[in-house]
Amino acid sequence: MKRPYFGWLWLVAGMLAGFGLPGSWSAETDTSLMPPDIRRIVKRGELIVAMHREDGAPFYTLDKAGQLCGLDVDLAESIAQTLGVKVRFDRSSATFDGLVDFVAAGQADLAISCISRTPRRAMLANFSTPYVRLYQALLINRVKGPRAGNALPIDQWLNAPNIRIGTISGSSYMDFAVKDYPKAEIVAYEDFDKAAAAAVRGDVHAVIFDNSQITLWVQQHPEEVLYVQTRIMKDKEDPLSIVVNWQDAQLLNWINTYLATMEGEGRLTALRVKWLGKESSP
Amino acid sequence: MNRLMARFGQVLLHPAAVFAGIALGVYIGLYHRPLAQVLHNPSRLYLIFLQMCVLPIMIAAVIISVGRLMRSGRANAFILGVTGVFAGGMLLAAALGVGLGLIGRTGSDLGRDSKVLMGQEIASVEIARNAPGDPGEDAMPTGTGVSDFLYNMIPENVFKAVSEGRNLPVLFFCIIIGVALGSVRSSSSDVALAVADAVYEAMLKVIGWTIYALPFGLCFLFADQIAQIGTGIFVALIKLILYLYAGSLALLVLYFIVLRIRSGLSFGTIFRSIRQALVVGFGTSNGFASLPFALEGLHKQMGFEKDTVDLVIPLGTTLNPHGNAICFGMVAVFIAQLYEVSLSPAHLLTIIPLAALAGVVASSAPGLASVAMLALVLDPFQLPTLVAIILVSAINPVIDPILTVVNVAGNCASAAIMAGRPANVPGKGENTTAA
Repeated sequence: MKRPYFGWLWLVAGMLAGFGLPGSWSAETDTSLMPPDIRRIVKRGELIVAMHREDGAPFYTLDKAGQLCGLDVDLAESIAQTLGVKVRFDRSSATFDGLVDFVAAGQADLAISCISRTPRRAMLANFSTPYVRLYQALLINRVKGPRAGNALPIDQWLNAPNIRIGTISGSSYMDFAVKDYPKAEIVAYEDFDKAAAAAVRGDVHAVIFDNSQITLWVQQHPEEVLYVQTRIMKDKEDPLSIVVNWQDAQLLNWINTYLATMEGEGRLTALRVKWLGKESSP
Repeated sequence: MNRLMARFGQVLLHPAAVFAGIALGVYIGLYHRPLAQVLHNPSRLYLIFLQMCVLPIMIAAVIISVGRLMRSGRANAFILGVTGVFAGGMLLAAALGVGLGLIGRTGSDLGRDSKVLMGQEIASVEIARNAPGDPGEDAMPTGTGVSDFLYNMIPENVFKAVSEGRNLPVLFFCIIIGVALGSVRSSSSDVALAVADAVYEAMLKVIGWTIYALPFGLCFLFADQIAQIGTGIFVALIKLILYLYAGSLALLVLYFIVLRIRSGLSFGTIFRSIRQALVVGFGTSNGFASLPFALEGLHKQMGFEKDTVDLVIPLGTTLNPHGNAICFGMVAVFIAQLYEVSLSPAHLLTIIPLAALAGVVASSAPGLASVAMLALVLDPFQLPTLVAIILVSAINPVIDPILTVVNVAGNCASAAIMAGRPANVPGKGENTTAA
């Protein structure tokens, strides 16, 4: 029986893969013409990416084999590969604000960790163009939530002196909550599970966070839907960006160019569909 | 050939034919779902035809009976009586719902599996409502409250109210017409009442013809309904469903005792007389569809006074739905237990009239908006109405048939209390029209 010979395909695949091998590019390239921020990374042969200590599926989490994976992980690896270096994740920060501080202090080149842009953070570091656009969302306790006949928009209902709103300490949502609901009492929790549990118990009227995290938690805790209601605020976007040191001007430019290229080739869309299930483009 | 047709007609009118139709429908619904889906449209057709006949019957019956009531000069006594009987019956049914809910603790100690199933059901409804392009997300099925109920009672345009099937404004208009016709003592008003009487008799005749189609209609309706019933959420709420059925059966026993005391007939005769009304109510989950059968059974077969029956039954179909009251009472307690909100005796005493009131308002609201009237009961206690609405809507296909039977039978019992004792206790009458 005759079978077509496809062995040549392996050869082609090998050649293609060779282009992307970490380090193969930097070894032959003259780094003297590069701006200092890019040169620093290429010479080091390693891109240091700050990432939150606690897993945050589907952006960065461990798969069944214990391997780090997620949208942010894929994005960081793809950036490093294109720069021709390896990637190293620094996961020592326990807060999102801490990640921005890391980059501002030069301890990491980038922070890619489901980070929202806020004016306060932008005083410390630069933000790339958004690569995912989430929405602000609420997990509202059903007994303490607004009544069926309540005519107030949810925003106004939340912004009252007797309302307690939970969120995660050191996250952008502390800023959002303090800014948008100045009259309410904002309660900070260590992580999302603790905040959600507080909403279920009724310790807080609502928890505010991004729609991705809230939807994921609801899928993992279907029985709690009896006690808390999800509310996605479509008019309040929460764009995610890569954090870059303010001195690394060319690195920021490069990241923006790279994101635009990925977007143009449809690879960013593919990444979002792969990890978020549906398109949530910037 | 004619004799063959007549023989076939007799077969169709036999009680066994009705039950055979139901049994076949259940069988098709359980084991032949594609066929049941094919039968969906014919079953709608049968129900629509019944409803077509009911509206003129209801209008004519109310106008005639109110007209005669005015002339008899006992209108005041009647109004007091009907208010008392309706309010008493509704409060009793609501109290039974609350009491059984407390005894059964239907909302306590639900397992995690049940809560998961309930959570998934709620999430699926809420996600559907949160669909993209819906920024407000405030699309609660808002129950139009008591004030809207009263405002909507007077029709701006009576033909619009008739064409939209809004029964309460139609009833209001008919009562006004009846009062006016009854007050005017002229030959022309006699003619008007006679015309209404003729329409009424004619439509009952049409209903009589549809009885031949009843076995088929019920077969289609049952097949369609049974096929729609899923499993998941019913398993989770099985305790609530069973207690609702138990409460409904208790009420039915009570209604039969009332009917027996008022008519002096045997339970068997009573059952034969209102069997069609009950079966049509169960099969269609529609109290109005069974209205003509209830009129026929109470007056022609049990011999209750025609004018009272003709007025109480149409009014009661909208204003006296005991099934709604027991359901709302029990669901209110269920939700309170689910959210571990303790109810003081004062709370319980408030829930009972609220459940009765919500039941009345609900029966004049169309479709799922009627379930939304739960807000009237739950909102004062800070209980989450949306969850209650979603859960009750989910189990509605299972509980609606029995609650409709309670509505119909409760209404018959109310009419029996209001109506005079049968003038001639039917000895022969009960067999002539029995079908």
